[in-house]
This record gives sequence, structure tokens and C-alpha cells, in this order.
Amino acid sequence: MASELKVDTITGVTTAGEITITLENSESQILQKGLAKVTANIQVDATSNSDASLNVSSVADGAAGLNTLTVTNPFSAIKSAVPCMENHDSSYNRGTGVDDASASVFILRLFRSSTSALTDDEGDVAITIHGDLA
Amino acid sequence: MASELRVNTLKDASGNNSVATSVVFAGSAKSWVHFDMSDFSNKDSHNIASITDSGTGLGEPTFTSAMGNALYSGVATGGNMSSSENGIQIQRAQMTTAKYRIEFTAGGSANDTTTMHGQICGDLA
Repeated sequence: MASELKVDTITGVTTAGEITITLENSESQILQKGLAKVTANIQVDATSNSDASLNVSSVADGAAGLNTLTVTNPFSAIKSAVPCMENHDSSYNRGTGVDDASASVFILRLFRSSTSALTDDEGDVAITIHGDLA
Repeated sequence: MASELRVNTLKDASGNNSVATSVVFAGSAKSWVHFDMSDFSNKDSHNIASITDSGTGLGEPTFTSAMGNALYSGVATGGNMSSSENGIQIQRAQMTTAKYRIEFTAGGSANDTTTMHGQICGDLA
């Protein structure tokens, strides 16, 4: 029978941040573990951030190819964040990397592969970060 | 007291912003890992049983709960990189329901970087 639950907040009973969900073939998983904690789409030559952003406090434009993303709610530790980033430029001539400067600050890098130099050219990047929040 | 809810759809209290629980489940990452290729220490992870050193620049995270097939979506990104000479890929031929392999190169040669991230979406077995 189809059913529908109307709520604003779901909180675990035993542990607030742990709600077990039943997945494919009765496998189970902690709901919060699988959720992306940060999403953003950023113009590399600016500070713009898309409406689709989640848990982003600010984006700062640095030198060529560098942006600093600061999250609103930090991760539990500097190594508890798992960022993955992709460049949306039409050129294949790009490389990306993410430095974890702290539990709340990430340095985004966009390279031009042919020269190995950081670049702002025509670039926007999308980033998602999974991990455990503080 | 532990409790269990069985529902098909979630909505906010106003009855808006509907999302099927199947979307929540399918959209949840089934595994993620942050590890160091220099010593293969697991910094933090979800659904990772172990990480194997498969050679210079090669790391194989093994899932605790296996994936349902080998066609899942996997992405990887490195950190603390100083050059675009660094290349990262998940080797398609090494993706199985039990594990996957990340390859990292620097300047065209295999390299054990200290910061590697992997995220997996798809269906569990």
C-alpha cells in the first residue's frame, strides 16, 4: 500500500544523526552517511555560486585557477571530508584538484594540462563533498 | 525506543516538496573514502572494509557491502596537488562489485599521493 509521511525534520531516536534506511535487497545504511554535505557550482574567475549550492558559506576568488570555498557547517575533522570536483569547460585540456585546508575551508584548483599552469579560462567547476559533519 | 517507518513518499509538513523514498535511497552515496597512498591509511570512509596497495600509484578500496553490479558511478579527486601533471582515473577494467581501483600519476609516472578521495553511487547487492 502506498504511504506518505509529511514532516519537516527527521531525527534518529537512539542517536540523532543516525537513521537507518533499508536499501536494495534489504541492505541497510545510515541515511546521513550517504548524503552529500556540500554541493556547489562555481565560476573559477569569480565568486559566483549557483542556486543549487548546499552548506556553502562563501566562495572567494584567488589567483588564477584558485578559489576558496568555505562551508557553513564544518566537517568533524580535516580528513573527514571527501570532495570530488569536475570541470565543465568544453576543453579536454583541464585538470582539477581540491586541497583540504581545514575542516571548513577547501582550496579548489583548476589547471591547464598543456602547460601545467593554473587557469581561470572559461571554467566553471562542480564540487560535491561527502563525509562526517562536526 | 527504536522504531521503523515504512513509507513510499516523504513531504514537508505543509505537504510540499515531495520526494519518493526510492529517490532518497538511489541518490545516497553508497561509499566514500579519503585515504593516503603513501601508507594506505584510511582517513575517513563509509562502506569501506579495507584499502589495498596494488602498486605505485594504485589503490583499491574494498566495500564492506558489495555493489549490485560493476557498472556503478565512481568519481575520484586528489588533493594538495601542485600541477596539472597529476592524473587520476578509476580503472574501468578493475571495477568489480567488491572493489575498485584508483590510479594516480604525476608527470606521466605512477605516484603515491598523500591525499585521494573516491565517491561511489549506485545500487548495493
